[in-house]
Amino acid sequence: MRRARVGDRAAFEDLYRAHVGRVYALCLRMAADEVRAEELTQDVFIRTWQRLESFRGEAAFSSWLYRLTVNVVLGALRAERRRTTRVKAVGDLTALAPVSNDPVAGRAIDLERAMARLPDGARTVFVLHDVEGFKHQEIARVLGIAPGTAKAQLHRARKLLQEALES
Amino acid sequence: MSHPDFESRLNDYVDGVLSPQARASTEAHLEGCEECRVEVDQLRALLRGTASLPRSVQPPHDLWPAILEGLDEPERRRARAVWERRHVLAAAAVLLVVISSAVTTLLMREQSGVGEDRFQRLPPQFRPTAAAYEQAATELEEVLEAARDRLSPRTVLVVERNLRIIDDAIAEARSALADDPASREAGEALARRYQDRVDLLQQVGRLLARS
Repeated sequence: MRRARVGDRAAFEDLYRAHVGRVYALCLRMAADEVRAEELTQDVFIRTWQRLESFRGEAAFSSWLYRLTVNVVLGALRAERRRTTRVKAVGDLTALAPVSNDPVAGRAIDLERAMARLPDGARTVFVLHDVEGFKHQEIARVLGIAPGTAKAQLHRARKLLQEALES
Repeated sequence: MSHPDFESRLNDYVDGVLSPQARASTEAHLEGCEECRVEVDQLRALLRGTASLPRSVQPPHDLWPAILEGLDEPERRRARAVWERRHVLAAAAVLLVVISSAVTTLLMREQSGVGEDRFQRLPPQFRPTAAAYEQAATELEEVLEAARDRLSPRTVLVVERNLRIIDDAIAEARSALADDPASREAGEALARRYQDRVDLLQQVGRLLARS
């Protein structure tokens, strides 16, 4: 980390290799689009390189990185107008769980696919709260909505997921 | 659900964020309501499934090469901007020297009187110089146009208005000289109008150097 902060690219590559899986998973679940998730992951690490000097070390680097990831993805999603690639991406989400006869793995694929089909706002809140462990207050702050609205979105997402998984 | 207003309460119950009193009353309700017990079980199953999702997923491609290129991009953009500005200013400086020296030559000939004979022949000799000036001025304006976005919109408006005024004056002076090729005053006027244009373009060049 120290070497990366002073411009050591080999050290930064080490950071990339250590954290790319988490960052990509978050981008993929929030964007529900494999290609877009790769682009967003690249953006996250480039932004991280530009802002490394501002990381003061009060929290764990991973926490700082994943909050930066959320901000990058949200900013990109706000700027996007078209979501037509989402249906295609759902088919690509098999990468998230290994192909096997394991019923648990099969349920995981179903859940990922169901998450990808959620409305954007509900999916974002669900991923942040139930997958990533953000609190309602923080979700509300990041999304610029009231905590009550964030909670309502979460409950709605859970309801929709239950209905999708039952069908 | 027969009492949907309880849905939010059940979610909060499963999340463990209810106050002790609210939790107690919810548990009391659950004891007597099978529908809500099923709802709670389903919510917990969903959260178990979510908790078992992989936290880390490797992207299909190695993104490091593209990221590495992106690390250099801001620096390349800054270097390109610096190079462009230096190139613009250098080109502008060269052209201004060419134009200035051409106009100065004209003025010196006129003032020294040495070229008075030549001055009488000035219009024909003036034409190659005027042509060279016009070409140099056009090239300079193209260079400055490329750097236009470094000037404020107000400055651009002022420069363009002044150029129009000077161009009109040049056109009048040229017309006057064409009507009276031997006119010293017309030749002087034309040279001065060219000098005005040079001064304005030099001013723009100085503004660019400061931006």
